[in-house]
Amino acid sequence: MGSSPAAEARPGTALEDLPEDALLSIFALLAPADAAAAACASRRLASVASSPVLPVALALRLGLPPPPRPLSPSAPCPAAARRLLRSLHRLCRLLGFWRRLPSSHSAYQSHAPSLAAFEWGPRATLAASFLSPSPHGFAVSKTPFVTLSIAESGDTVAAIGDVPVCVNFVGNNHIVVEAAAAEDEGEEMVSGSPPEEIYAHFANRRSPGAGRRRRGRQGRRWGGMEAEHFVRIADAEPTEARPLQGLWKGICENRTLEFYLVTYGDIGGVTCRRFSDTRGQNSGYSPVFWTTDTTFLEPPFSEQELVNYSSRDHIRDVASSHAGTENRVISRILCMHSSYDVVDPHLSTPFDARNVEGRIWLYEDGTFGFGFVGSNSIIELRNVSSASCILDTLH
Amino acid sequence: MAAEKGEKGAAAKEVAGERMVTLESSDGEEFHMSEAAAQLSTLLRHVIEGGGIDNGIPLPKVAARTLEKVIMYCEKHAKAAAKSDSDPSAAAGSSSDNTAAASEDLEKWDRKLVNGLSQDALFDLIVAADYLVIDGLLDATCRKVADMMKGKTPDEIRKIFNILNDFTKEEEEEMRREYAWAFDD
Repeated sequence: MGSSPAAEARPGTALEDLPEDALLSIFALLAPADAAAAACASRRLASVASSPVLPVALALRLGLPPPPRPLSPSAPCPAAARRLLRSLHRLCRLLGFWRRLPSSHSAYQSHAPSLAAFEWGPRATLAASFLSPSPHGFAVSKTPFVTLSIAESGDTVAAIGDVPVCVNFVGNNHIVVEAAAAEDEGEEMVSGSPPEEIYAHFANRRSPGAGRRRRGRQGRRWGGMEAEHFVRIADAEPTEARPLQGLWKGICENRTLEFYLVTYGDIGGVTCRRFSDTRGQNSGYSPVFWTTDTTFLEPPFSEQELVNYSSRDHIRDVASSHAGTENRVISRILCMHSSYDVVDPHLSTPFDARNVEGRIWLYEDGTFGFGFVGSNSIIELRNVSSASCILDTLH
Repeated sequence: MAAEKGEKGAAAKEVAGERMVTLESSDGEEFHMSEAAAQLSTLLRHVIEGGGIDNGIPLPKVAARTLEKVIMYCEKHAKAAAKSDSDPSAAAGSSSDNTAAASEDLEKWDRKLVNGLSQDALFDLIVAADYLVIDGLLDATCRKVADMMKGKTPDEIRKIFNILNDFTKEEEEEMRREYAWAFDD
């Protein structure tokens, strides 16, 4: 090679020989979980991962305001830095949409919303809110729920209003929100615990409302908050390959705005479910249609298809008693043949549940409408979010 | 424009109306670089501003093969910046698509540059970019290393980068506990 050892860092420069700020730059580009894996590779890398500078660099890269610094920055604490890294990881995992599972608690609330959104708030907080259809067109109401932030210790703290709560993961796609016990303050939350600990956590609980042994005063003051369970809604927005996928909102035939979730199955097919009152027969999540064949019809469309579309009423405005008949530009059509026991009590026209036929009209702007044979309406759907931002929220 | 190797002791000179600076690698090779390109390095910028570059700028920490890549990067980015500044439609704000496309092309060029390097050469370039304080080059090279780490277990990272596991058994257990949250997805 002809180069002396001093010319390069060393012949065969090792990763660990890189300057500290270069290693920090590398770590700051990693997701917290990848930074953790690298930290476990060697002492040198563990030392870099424990640098108090790393979480700040990572937060800045995520677009957050820098998290709170330790009380004594002159004596940086590697353990606090690791906690901070873990907290950032937890907050990132919570981002997105979640569906509340029905519980005995929500059953006592009228119209308990079942769709929740976790979004970044000001000052490195994560704010969760329930989304509800508003009575105003396609607007969405947000009701504040849990707020999570990172304490100066580096730990995550969560609260509903002034009441501390815990937000614990059960696997990656299931969370539990419940009241925090006073004695739990400062303790790390159960996160990523082995399954045995998770099940023991629930097994040790007494009957609903009595609270756990560890709850103490906090639990009693909160009145024995029932644990609320949520499952993750993955794929909340459509993609080019899956144009129907995601969370949608549409005005149904009884002129109320509803939320719909359309998912693509692992074995093919598309399923649409409607979010409903958690007291409902279908536990807040009722099927609307299911079709196995996702092959779209491309233009030019047959005369029959065009007439089928143009003869229908487009249900678009809650306030209007006359649905608009404005025709939009259709880019593709999907023929639905659901052989699924679909019962949607909100549809005005009863149909044979075992032989549901209909159409999905995909528009040029990426939205779509659907309607069934035997019904003369089209339920037009719009995106609930775009680029992870919730659209049309009421302030 | 490839790095040009000049005569020994050549002072800063002009080539085609452009001021050039002479750099000397740790192994004694001389390279010429436009002053505009040199400005991308905070270190070189300070040296140039301080004067005293008549006999060239020695870079004892940067070998010839690495310096060649550094100069390639700087010349490419300096040219791109000059082109963007001189584009009249840019001022009118009407070429945002062109600007985005140019930026994307530059990123692709950067990726091609770092993808073509061996691990040793990549690390040497990181050391050089850090020493010369060339933020864009440091970012591009560190990004490559980060990409190599993504989704890997600690064992895989050790294999890829030939890292010795210098934890004791107890230390390794403790690390696993400390970072258990990262491995439970």
